[in-house]
Amino acid sequence: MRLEDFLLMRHELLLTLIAIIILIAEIFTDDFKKQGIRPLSIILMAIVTIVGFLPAPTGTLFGGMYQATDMRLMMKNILNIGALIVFIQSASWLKSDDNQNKVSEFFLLLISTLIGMNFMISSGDFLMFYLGLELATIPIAALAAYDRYSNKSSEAGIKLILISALSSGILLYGISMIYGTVGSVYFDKVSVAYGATPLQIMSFIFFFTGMAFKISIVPFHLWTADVYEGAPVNVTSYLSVVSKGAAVFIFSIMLVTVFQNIAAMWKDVMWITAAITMTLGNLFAMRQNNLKRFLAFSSISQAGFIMLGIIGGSELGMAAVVYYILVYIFSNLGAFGVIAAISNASGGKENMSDYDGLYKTNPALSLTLTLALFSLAGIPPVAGFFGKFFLFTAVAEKGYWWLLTIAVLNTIISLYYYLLPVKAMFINKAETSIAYFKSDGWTKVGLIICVAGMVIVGFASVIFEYIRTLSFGL
Amino acid sequence: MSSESLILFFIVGVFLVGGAIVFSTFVPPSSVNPNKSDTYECGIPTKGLSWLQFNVGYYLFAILFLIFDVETVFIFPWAVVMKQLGMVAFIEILIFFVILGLGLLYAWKKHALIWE
Amino acid sequence: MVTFSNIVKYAWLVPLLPFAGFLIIIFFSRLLKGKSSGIIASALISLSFLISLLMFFAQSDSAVKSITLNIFSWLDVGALKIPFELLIDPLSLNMMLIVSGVGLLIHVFSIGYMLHDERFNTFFAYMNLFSASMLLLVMGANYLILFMGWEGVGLCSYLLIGFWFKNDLYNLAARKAFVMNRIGDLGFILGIILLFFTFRTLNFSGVFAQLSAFTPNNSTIVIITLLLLVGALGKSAQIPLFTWLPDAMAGPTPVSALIHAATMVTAGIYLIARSSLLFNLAPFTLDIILAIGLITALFAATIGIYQNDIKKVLAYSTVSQLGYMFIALGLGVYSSAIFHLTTHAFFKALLFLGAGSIIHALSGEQDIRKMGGLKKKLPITFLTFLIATLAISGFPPFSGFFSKDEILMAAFARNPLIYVLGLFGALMTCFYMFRLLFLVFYNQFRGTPEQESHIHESPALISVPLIILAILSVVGGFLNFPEIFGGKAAQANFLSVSLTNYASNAGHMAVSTEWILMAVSVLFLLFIVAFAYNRFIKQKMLPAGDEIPLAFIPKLLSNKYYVDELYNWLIVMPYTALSEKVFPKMELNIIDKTVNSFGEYTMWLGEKVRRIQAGNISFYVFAMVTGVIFFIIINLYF
Repeated sequence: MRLEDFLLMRHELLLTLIAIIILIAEIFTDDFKKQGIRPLSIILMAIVTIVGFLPAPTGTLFGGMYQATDMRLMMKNILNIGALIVFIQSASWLKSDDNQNKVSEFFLLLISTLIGMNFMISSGDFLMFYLGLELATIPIAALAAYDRYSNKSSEAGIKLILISALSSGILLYGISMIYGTVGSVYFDKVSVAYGATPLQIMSFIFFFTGMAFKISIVPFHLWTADVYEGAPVNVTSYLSVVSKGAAVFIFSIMLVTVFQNIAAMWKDVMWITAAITMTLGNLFAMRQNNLKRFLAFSSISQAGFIMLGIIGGSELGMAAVVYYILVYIFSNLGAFGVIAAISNASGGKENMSDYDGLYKTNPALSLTLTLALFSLAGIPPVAGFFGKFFLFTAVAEKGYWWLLTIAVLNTIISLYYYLLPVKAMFINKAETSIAYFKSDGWTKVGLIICVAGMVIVGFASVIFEYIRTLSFGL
Repeated sequence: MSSESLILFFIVGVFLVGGAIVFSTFVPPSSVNPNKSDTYECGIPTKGLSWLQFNVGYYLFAILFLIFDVETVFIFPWAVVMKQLGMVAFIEILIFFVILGLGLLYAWKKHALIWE
Repeated sequence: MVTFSNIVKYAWLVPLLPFAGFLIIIFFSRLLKGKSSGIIASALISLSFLISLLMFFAQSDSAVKSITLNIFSWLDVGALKIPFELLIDPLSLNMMLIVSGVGLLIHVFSIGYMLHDERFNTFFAYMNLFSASMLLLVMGANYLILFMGWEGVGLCSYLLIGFWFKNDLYNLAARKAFVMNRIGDLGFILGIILLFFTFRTLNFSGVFAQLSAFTPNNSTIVIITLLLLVGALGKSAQIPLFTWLPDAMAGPTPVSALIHAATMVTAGIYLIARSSLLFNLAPFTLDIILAIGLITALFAATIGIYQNDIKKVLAYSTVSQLGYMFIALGLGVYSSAIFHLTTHAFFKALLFLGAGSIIHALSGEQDIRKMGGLKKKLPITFLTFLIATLAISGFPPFSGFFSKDEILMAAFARNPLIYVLGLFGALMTCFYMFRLLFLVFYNQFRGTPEQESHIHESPALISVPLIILAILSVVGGFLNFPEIFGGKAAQANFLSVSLTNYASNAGHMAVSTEWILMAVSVLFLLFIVAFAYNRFIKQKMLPAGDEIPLAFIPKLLSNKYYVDELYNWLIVMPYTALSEKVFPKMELNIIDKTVNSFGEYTMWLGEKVRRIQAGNISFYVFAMVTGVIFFIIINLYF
């Protein structure tokens, strides 16, 4: 192995490096200087994000176990951006007294999951994939239980670890069956030898279950509601955006490459689950009054929408998936950011009715939230519109008219509930709306990045076209 | 492999597991007495409930032990072929040591090594 | 060497600079103290103006008159290819110069006018966004970019009309403008969609290139043009969508000037002029435009006679003048419409800014019955206002004379009756404008003594833009000095690259007829001025106070023909009644029940399932395993 080869793994290595730097900083600073770790981590992460965009070679490592293609590198950059925004948004929350003595742990655990996701994305065989998946999952359970003394948070952690243990067990079972029938765990070998024997179909279903848990597809979504509600807001936003995005990406790549021989079959499975996921997610979200829970459920139905692009299965579909993840990161993190800011400032007000008349008192925040919700709902001209539009085109291109109809109907339903908070903020009158408050610098920076992302990604079609050129190589 | 064999696989699986349970209920001689359903604790009669909280320090020590255990597991295969692997592998294993060492330092700093 | 093709490369700066101004002011609002935001906004728009001017001069030396500038490819999905392109040609240059030039003067004026407003910074941010949208609108090379600017303009007008949002009435006015515009937009969107399905492209050049395949009055083309017309009616405030414009004066006066003169209302005219080739294929639509323009011109002029709010009079005069532009469009003399648009931009901006100066001097008074005798106290305002009044009334050699005369000539060539009606409207314009002038500036001051003591001429920031606009109002007519006076019709020739007139420009009329018509109209105008002078200065007649009941016709006119009430009665009330009586039932019983039963059923299901299971987590596992088995079964056996 030559030293230049390390350049291929630069995302993972850099993340490991900053994790070690943060760990050293944690070990060798006094307790009362711990607050400095927050800006340090954010700056390090920002550097990693920027370095990730520098042009670098592509290729494979470890005999094909590790693959660095343009598309995968792009996806890693997108995840870096997401993680960076989560870092920035967490800054003011981590300052609170409860979190004083565990600041660096938050960053360390989060970076660990990010490293796991990066390995997962770059995997060229099932072993690497599984390692990455586990590394991406286990620290998240610890993050979900971050508020140690909150019962709900602990419950979230326990539930997440239990369900993820089950699902990765099933997944591993599926992988072992794949190995048993094909005799290899390398993607390229499996894709050639994979057939449609019953055992292989069963192995695929097992594998699918494991991934469906990560992406939270119905009926493997039930953990999301409790975990999203129990976990701290910033962890929830990370979980629902970055973690989900990584899983969707690698899953879609594996479907169109590894499982291409049984495409007809998995397209049926995906068809059904996508339709059910969109619809059920919507129906649940419609009834939520707690905004965090509301976003959690809406993120289930968003997962259903993303699956449209996978079903499309073409280059356009792949590009649409990646583009949508990018848009979704900005929109959902924007929405979560506003909710977190308000929750922090008002002492935990998260209900829809608390937002009545918010526009009068906090116009900037309510405009940001409105923009984010518009983007999630897919209202032009915000980026979300183009995201949905491309996904729909990808499905329409392949002639899935029924699925498209269901998706459009669901979009209309989702419009209804995405506009509910907007209505609360702008139209509802309240005698005691949340008073005006000044967000601190970090929160502002985080939200400005999100807003800029939503607007720029929507208008600069260069981005979509760039992603599209990448998608030909996968 | 056809779907018939898969069904056969299922049936055999069900029968094997189910058969074992059924077999074990019927075949052995049954003698029920209170001593047998008691909690076993080194042969000493138990006191109080077995559902009691105990020090989380046990877990911490176990995990810390694991650090060195894993270290050893990795060092062995490396040490066997150390000469063939050369300098790069040597540096890699050093980095591995350093990271593990940092973990230990972290635990030390967090007072995980003190039995409270 | 500044050649046209070189400088056009920087055309994208023209809309981008004011947009950047908007961003800068919004984001650094806290840091910008005093006049700084106004200066930034004005500086950026003056840069836009400068670039436009450079392009204009470079273009006049260049053989290539029109250049399409590709910025980036915007949408490219399947058959839908929409590049982000700017089109720099005589028509868009003409509009750019008006928007940025007049806009710049209004910006400068606003620095003085809005100085004491607490939301000074926000105001300039919106103004810059407004200008940026309008510039994008006139520079876009396809209908979608035009539409983007179009929507931006609509949004900004909403923000600016409702700028003083603490007043509920102003908010209502803003909402009305928004809704009326939305009705128009709907037509425009449908038109764009139909255009795309017919031509498979939205580029101006692409659409126009395919027109040879269509015969005149082809039904598709007629429908497309009618839909585009609906959009234009909304933006340019024509019957039946005109009522928002007079209400739009709720915003600060510079906003009214910007909306009425340089931006917004000209968008509809621009849209039709830009699509001249398309409309030439639909004589039917042109006839409708002509009729609407004629009715609007007369209708609004009659209303103007009985208004007592200085800004309302001007607002109705805008509607009426826009009617003239529509007459020109309907007659197919698009260049005359653009000519009138240009001169109108000068004198209407001047009138509004003058009105702003008066209102400023009287600390907010807008009722002309409480003014009077301001001639001495506000000499600059008076002089400029006089020039604007002469221009809008159509006295030679002021700019309005040439542009209006050109339209009337074309009307005469089509049908003398149209000419007579048009002339009648022009005379009414003359009457109410002089009524306004006499009531405001002559005789004695009729306000409170306290107001009188405060009257002062406005500072230079306000008066300099007035003077510049006054000069433009005088000489603006020579832009398109008609051939009959030995001119070259410069603007018409300049525009001929972008516009194709349907009928030739009054070419087949005898020169003597033209002279006679001009003489007649000037004579009539003089008579009207004498009449107004006699009535308002000699006899010192005053419009009656609000409390005195009026005779039928004056009452009808001063209440604007009850159009607002009619709309209210026809649309708003039935709609409210419907939504109050019918919709609750429908919503409760059908929609809500359906939706709720979904939700309730799932909730109920959730409850049931939860009851079966003691702990949630085991149910989750159960559901997952069920899911696995379900998928295995359907895949193995179906």
